[in-house]
Amino acid sequence: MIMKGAKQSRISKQFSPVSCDSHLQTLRESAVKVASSEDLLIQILLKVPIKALMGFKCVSKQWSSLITNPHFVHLRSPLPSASSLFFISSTRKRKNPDYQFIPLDVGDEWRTPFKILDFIHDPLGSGISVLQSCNGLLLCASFRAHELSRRYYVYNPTTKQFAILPQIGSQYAEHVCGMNLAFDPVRSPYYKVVCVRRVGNLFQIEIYSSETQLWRVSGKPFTAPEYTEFQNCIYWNGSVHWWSGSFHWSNGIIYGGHWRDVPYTLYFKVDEESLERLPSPKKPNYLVPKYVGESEGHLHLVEFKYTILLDVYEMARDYSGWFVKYQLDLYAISNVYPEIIRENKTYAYHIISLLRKGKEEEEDGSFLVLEIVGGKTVRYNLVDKSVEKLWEFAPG
Amino acid sequence: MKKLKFIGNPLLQSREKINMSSDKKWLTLKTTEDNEEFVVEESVAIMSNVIKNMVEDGCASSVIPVPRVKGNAMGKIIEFCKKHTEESDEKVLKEFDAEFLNLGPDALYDLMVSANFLEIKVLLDSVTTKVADMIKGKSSEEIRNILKIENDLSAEEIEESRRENCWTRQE
Repeated sequence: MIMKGAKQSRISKQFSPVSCDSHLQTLRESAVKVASSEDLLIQILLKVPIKALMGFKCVSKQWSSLITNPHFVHLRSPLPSASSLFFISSTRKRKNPDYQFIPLDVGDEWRTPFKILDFIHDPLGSGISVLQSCNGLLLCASFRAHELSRRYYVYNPTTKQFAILPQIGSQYAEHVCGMNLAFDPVRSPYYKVVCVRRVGNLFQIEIYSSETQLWRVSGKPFTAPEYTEFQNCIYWNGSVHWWSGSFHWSNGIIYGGHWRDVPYTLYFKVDEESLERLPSPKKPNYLVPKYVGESEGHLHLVEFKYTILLDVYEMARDYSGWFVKYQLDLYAISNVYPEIIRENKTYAYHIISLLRKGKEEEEDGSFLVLEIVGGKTVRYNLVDKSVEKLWEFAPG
Repeated sequence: MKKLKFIGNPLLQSREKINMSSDKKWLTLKTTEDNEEFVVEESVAIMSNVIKNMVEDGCASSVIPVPRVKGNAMGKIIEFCKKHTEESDEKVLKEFDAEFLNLGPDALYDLMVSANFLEIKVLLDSVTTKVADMIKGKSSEEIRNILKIENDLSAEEIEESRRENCWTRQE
């Protein structure tokens, strides 16, 4: 069949000189294009390691603009898979917190992106700390500074470039509840920062775009479920998600002595600039989830099923609902680390992170990182329930 | 009306037809800059996407003029494409490429530009990787020499860049 088609086209085109000429024309045009050779340059520079690339900005204006062009940066760095966490060593002793990186993936190449955040000269001693990391960019703030003089920065530890965000407006500075970074290199080389500030009993969103380099009010003031934490967000699927209650570093249960039903949480679709509600997987939902987080393009939520069995839910990409993807069996952990069970029969642990591993045809090696009593950080494989120790914090 | 009679297995018959119609075809490539002619098998020549498109559209009847590519670069390219069409062992090809690309910067540059122009992906990938390896350890001055780039940065711009990047040199 294919042969037949080719024969036909040959017959028709042999006698039409136009298409042959157009090929020759293309050849001539390509000759001119190659002379500018920017495509070629890009292909070469893509293969040069980042460190060397930074020094090449001195070669020529074209090279300098190419290397710093956000589209080029995007071509170079596909979405990084977060396989290491960082911890602050001590904020009290030093002006700038010291960062330590811990590889979560045993066998991963061990590289420390940075030890101290000193990308900016900090004369006031206000210290710079990381608020959030999003697809390779970090949102930092001068945490010791008073709210009125607090500055926010977006920092790229790979290219060492940073941007100082313009201040939001001094009349609002003290009412800022949260600053959230929204960056998805697949969607756009530009990032946005979503700021939520209080307006009386309500909240208002302002958006900063690195494309316009300006802040702009978005939408009208809105209400939010009680205890919504705007300073901790999860960026997933193009939206900034907020949760109620401080589940991050606590066993998150009761507030003010009352059980509070949290039927939904809020999320903000950044590009469409619309606020939506995300239902909780369990109804009624009195407990703050044990963990919520994003990994490899999936949004997960961990909640109790029974005391020693937790469900790991995943949200469908079209927001149609939660489904149980894995389970956390605390019994498996207590077999290896019996000290996890307290005297009163409760379990002493908290979930630090969930990492998805293994693409479609590969074996699923997804795991949870938990901190258990005694300063131990362990890795729990969600598929085969195996447990191994990653790290142990020295006392102090 | 005569009824078409298939002799033997109809599938086999059509396969035979195909074999008969695609006898080894030869093409003549002529570099217009220095008028050198190269006679190559079609299967080798179509490693170049540009030539492949011309062949598929029936424009490659006699001599294909190839502008911009010099005779010696064309010769090298044909050598590369021939080896890659004949050989399928990855290891052998890798060794061949390493030896093949052991060229001076000028020849490498010509090869790269020609491979890009003729759209030969395999060759372009190998050459750009080789060039990237070559330049990654070099200073800006050396790179400008190798790739024939004009220095259009002012002294201040260079100094500023150096200051920004001093951490790369320390490490």
